[in-house]
Amino acid sequence: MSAKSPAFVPLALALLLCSSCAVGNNQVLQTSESQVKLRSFQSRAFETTDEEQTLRTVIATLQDLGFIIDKADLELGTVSGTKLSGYQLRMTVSVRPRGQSQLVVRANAQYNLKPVEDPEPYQQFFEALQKAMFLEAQSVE
Amino acid sequence: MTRKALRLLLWGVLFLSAAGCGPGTRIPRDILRLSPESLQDRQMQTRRFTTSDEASLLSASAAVLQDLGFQLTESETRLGVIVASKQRDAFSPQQVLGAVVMAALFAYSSGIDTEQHIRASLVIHPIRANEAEAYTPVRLPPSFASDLQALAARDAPDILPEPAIRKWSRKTTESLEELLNRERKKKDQTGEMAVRVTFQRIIYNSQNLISRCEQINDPAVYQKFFDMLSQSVFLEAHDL
Repeated sequence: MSAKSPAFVPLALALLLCSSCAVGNNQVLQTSESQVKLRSFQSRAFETTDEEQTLRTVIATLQDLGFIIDKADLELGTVSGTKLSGYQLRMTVSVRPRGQSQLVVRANAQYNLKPVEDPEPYQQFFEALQKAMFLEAQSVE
Repeated sequence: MTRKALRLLLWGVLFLSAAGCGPGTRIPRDILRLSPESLQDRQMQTRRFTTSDEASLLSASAAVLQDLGFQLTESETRLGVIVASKQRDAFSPQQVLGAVVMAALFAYSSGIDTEQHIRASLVIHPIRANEAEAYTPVRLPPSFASDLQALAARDAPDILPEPAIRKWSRKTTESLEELLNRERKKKDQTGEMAVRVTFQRIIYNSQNLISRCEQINDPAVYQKFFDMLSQSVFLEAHDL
């Protein structure tokens, strides 16, 4: 078959797409949104220094949102959970001190095989969290 | 003619491979919004226990999960968290009949549910007298005990009485903030604990694909769990 055959174009495209399907390592360190932007809408600061109480409130909020807790670590200040509802939503929330008087809560979520990179779901999460904290969630620059 | 068929086939492969490359599903908008049912779910999944002994309640809970055949996979006692799971049969006779009929009539193999992975997380938290009370922590460079004493007396006289401060000022490892947090918690305690358990399951079919993933929402399941927990708490308390 000559290279000029009309069948060549779809054949080449099909091969190209199939090769892109091969599982590479590039997903390991992949970030698609600008990192600074992503971090800013995944994080909020709270006027408290009580890490344990904050983690407990994060856990309660995740439960209210339909998650089960997979893992919790006070030392590390992290909680992970999974929600199953026809889809799988996984979420990790970390709590770290910021300055003398604040804690920063950061969340990142994964929907099935995709990272959640819209600001809106995170905004919804922090709305629920600040209600349970009885403290205002402040944006972090 | 054959060339046309070949081209059609190749375009077909092209579309199929494009579709298979990534999950094409959109992320729902309200995925992390509190749903109206969340309060109802909380009530179904939570019970109050009159005890201030979080550790005993946690071990009684672990015992109930074991009674139900769960394996404990994760725990953080300082946050009152236990995670457990079990794998069981998901075989249902009606579904097998359905699959056989489908295969016979349409030569279509739908796969039957064979295995379910059930997971549970259990969380205990002390119910505080005034969970609504927000406070700003005291900020200070810890210099002199007398300064701290004055500060504490001004900011939190009801929480930190004089003797507590004198006792504390001899220990230098803890900051005043930590002390205040600790004392506030002690003062806030109502002597009641809330236990919340949630069950989820993933069902796999005979082709080893996920056929369903969901939260278990049957109130009877939760009721039975808490009946068992009440008994277990009683047994622990009486050491039988």
